[in-house]
Amino acid sequence: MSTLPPFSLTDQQLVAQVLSGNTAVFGQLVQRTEGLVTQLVFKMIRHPADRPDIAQEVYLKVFKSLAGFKFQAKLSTWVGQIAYNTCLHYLEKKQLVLLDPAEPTPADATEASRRGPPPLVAGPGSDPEAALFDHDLAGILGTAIEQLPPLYRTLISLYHQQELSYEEIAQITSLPDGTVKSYLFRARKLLKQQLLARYQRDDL
Amino acid sequence: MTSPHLSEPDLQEAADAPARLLAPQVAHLHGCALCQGRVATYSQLFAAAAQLPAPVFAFDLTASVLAQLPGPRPALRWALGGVAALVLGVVVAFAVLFGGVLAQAFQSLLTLLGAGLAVIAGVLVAGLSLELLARHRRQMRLLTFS
Repeated sequence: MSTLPPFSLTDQQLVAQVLSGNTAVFGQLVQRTEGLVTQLVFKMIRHPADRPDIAQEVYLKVFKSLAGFKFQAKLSTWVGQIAYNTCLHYLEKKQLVLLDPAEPTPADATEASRRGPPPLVAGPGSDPEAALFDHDLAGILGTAIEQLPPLYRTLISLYHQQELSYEEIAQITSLPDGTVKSYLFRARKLLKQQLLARYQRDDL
Repeated sequence: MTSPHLSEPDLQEAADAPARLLAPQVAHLHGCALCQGRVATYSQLFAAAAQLPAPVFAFDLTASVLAQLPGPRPALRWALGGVAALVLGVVVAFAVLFGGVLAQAFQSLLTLLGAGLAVIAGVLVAGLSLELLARHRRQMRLLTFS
């Protein structure tokens, strides 16, 4: 990891310094926002080989557009917006659709076969919730999220992992607040259904 | 307990932000074990989602991006100032070199005033043109990367 000065600059100071020609400070901007950008790229782009190029492309676009940024939103939200649009452009170029059920990549298939079938089924009379959550939920949940369509897994990660608000997600994705909320509800329901299906249960 | 069970969005809301639930839904939830179980499921799901490890790249993204950035460029306003100074210099040099000839050519004060105004207008037009060009280039850059 590069050794950069601590995050002592405000967003405004940081942008001003980069625009005045101190490009080294741009590293701070990358470090402040790379969690969000990485999350977006990983959730929207299925092919691991394409992700590094896309992440770098995002930051080169941010650098070139920085003069046009007028703090109409948080800096991180603006960077997230560029990351989302860059990924969207990639998906359009590859003729992939954000909301179609995702096709597992060869890497996913290998991973799935390596893991094998789910190791448990809630037996009759047992508590289905306990059966679900007594096991390695994090691992299973991670796999289930990967099976969601790109937009759904992006929304899940932005809301639950990045802890962004509906409004911030709406700004990043340019979707109306209500649509974000509605998609998020559907994504969570789908996620629960996928998890339940793994345990061969109809309902909890 | 006569009210219907909570809808799927309400169950999620109860797990995510219970304060946003309406009073009848809260009342139902207090007396309904089925809905409580469903809310608990979502609560555990959300907690597990929040604790999933964040993805990371296997390379140093910051270093990689910094290595690709172009070197510092002179600020545009300095470039504009330089061009304006150059134009002014040319005008002054022209006046010094050909002052006598000019004086003979412009015998009347009115003519001299007119010539002065023409020179000022020329400088202004040159400056405005450069500014417009710079603005156009900036907009093209924004359009390309928006």
